[in-house]
Amino acid sequence: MSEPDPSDKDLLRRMMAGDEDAFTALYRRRQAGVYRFALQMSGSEAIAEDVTQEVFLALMREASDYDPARGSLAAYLYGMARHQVLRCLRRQRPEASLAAVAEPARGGDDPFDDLTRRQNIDAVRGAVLALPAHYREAVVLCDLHEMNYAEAAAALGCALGTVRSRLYRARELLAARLGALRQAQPARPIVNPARCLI
Amino acid sequence: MNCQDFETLLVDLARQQPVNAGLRERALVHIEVCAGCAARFASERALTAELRALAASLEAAQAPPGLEAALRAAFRGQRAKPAVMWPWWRGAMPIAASFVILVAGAVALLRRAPAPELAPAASQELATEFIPLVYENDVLPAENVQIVRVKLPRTALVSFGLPINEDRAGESVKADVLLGDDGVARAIRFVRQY
Repeated sequence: MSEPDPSDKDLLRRMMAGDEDAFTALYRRRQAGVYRFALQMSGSEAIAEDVTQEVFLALMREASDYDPARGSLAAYLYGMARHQVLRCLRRQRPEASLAAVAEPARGGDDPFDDLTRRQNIDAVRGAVLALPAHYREAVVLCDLHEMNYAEAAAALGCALGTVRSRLYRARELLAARLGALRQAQPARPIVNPARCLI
Repeated sequence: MNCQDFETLLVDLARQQPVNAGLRERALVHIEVCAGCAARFASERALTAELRALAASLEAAQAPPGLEAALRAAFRGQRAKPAVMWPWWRGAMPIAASFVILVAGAVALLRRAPAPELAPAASQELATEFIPLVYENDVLPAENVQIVRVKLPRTALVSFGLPINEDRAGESVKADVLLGDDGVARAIRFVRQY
């Protein structure tokens, strides 16, 4: 029977004692979430990479600053990532869109369905990136990372009610923006298969 | 349930978050009779689905593989780094601060003496480097300083990260204190006599 995976707390304790394998295990467990959070917040792979690096370097240096009473280690890492992302965004406006890192095309029966689905995802991505940062982080944590309000509040360092109200407002803004985009876009072209054969 | 009550639950219901079972039931009854709230609910559910599709599109995204190797190297480097490479005396500053008070008391007594004993450059002495007791920026370059020799408990060495022979922990140790014009200790060095 295999042993259960060690908790974040156990790995952190071992890491602080100098155990490189524990650090590696912790990194492998948490890097993707931190990276995706930074990517979804910034829209830039370069920023996401820098932020991930800075977060784990900071964890090496300041692991003793983590207080389990204030939230999970994941929330602590997201909190550090958030500070790093906001710092990067203050320095530079993201120019690259996430189009470059969008999912690879999946083979479907109907290429138009696939195209429409990808256009929809791009539109939602653009709408999320256009939100003010304090609304965007609520959407990214609660909707894209499926954190509950308490975890998101720990990561953002604010009250649970603040997360709720920001998420509510953010979704209103998203719905309005997506609605406006769809009204401006032409409807899907109707393809006549007979004409394609000519 | 009225429309206002429903509005407070709308986002949680659309996101399929835990909601009190009774409230959920009443909310679902409400949208059966209220077309406006039913439309709002449908719109919020559609938004939730779109956000989940966006999350799924980046499900496989993760940091580049090379980053793990770089961080592991940094971890090893951090563990291997000798303590002296870090400005360790800054970490010892809080401990040293309380210790400075002790030094100041000893210095005040010595100042009453007609000729304070200056640190001799005697060949039978071995001294550490001067260890700052204040941040470097607080030391004025043109400041007149005075060196005063004091005796301190040997345990004071520990406060500055220096090794101590526990068998002699109860004994005193000699130290030279660098005093500024204002009488505040700027730096200290420990002296061993042969």
